[in-house]
Amino acid sequence: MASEEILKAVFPFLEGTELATCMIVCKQWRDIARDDYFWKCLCSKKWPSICKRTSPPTVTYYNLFQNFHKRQYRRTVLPPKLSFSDLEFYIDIWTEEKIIFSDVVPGPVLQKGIWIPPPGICDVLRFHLEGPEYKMTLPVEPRFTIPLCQTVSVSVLVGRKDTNKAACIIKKSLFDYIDRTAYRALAFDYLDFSSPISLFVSGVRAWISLLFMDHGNEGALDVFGIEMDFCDAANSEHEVLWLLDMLEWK
Amino acid sequence: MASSSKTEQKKMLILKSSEEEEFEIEESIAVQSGTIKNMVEDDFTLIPLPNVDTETLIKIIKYMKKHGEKTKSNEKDIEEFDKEFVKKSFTELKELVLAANYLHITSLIDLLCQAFADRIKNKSVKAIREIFGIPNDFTPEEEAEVYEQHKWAHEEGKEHIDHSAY
Repeated sequence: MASEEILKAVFPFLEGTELATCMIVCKQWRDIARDDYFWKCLCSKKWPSICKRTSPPTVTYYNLFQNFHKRQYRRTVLPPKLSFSDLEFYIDIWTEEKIIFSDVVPGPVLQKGIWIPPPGICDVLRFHLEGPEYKMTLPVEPRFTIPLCQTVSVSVLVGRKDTNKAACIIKKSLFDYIDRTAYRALAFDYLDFSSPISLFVSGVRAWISLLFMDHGNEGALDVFGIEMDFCDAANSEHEVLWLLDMLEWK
Repeated sequence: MASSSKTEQKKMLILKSSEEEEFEIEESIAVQSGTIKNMVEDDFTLIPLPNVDTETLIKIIKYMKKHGEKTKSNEKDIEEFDKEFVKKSFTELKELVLAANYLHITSLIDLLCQAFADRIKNKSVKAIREIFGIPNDFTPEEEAEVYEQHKWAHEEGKEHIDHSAY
């Protein structure tokens, strides 16, 4: 058919995205545009060296073009290998040298996020807890009180059931920043990644906060919950799991 | 044989369309067509072109005449001519490209193909079908499948697509 001749002459003048559009027009156009010859021409314009390969290509030029023609800015995260049900968090909190909170927290508990926060917390904190950003939180029952004059420190380790290994999230850090508007006391530590990731990735922090009530009691913190996040780098459940997977597991 | 006297008669050829109409044209201009050139080398002076109708042949002769006078100074002029030349209906362009292909006029083939390509560029699938008068022979499922396979081409830059037919 005469149009076939014309299409075969015109297609080499199109860009890759336009040729792909042509494939959707009708069956005839699709069948002609599918010819790898046109995609070879497009590839050779963009990457001339690729057509000089000595060994025969294993993928079609169409596939090659499709994969490399433009940078994918959209971050599509593959499902992580790790899941929260594989994890257990070992959280210990001291005031001076006395342990005031020590618990094994199963992954799914932290994953679920906030329970219903108790009444009596400030609005800023309530707003934060009810917000859509991904956060791992856990209620502290019974609540404990920390006098402000004392130093409070925390350590967090995590264990995984799939490989029976453990990693450190927070070695031992002080809650040395108190956010009085949001009623949170914060501590952080830098994450240790496994090799070779650690060669290239650094400065990613794990944050842990003690959430306390708005009692007007200036002398002590009445802690009702704990929050952990990795907001430097990970902002969704999948991202957090990928991040944890990259830690130095021993 | 080749005397450069200004009074020398330029060799003329006769091109005959499919409708048997005849047109006289200078050989030096006509040989822009590879097909005609071959026939001239075989000593033809009357060139029958059964694949080209009169209307199309007239346009092609016009093109060849314009491009035959190409010099360094009138490049802009020829550019303008080319631009106007492709402002034709889709059917006319189709006839022209088939004729240019048959006649082997490379520059004209390129010009026409580029014009076709320009009518496809940045157009949505729907607009392309309208412009070229092509019915959609995909079932809705098939169309969805094909669209999905080519999503990579449409992911970004969707705002550049022109959904109007022109």
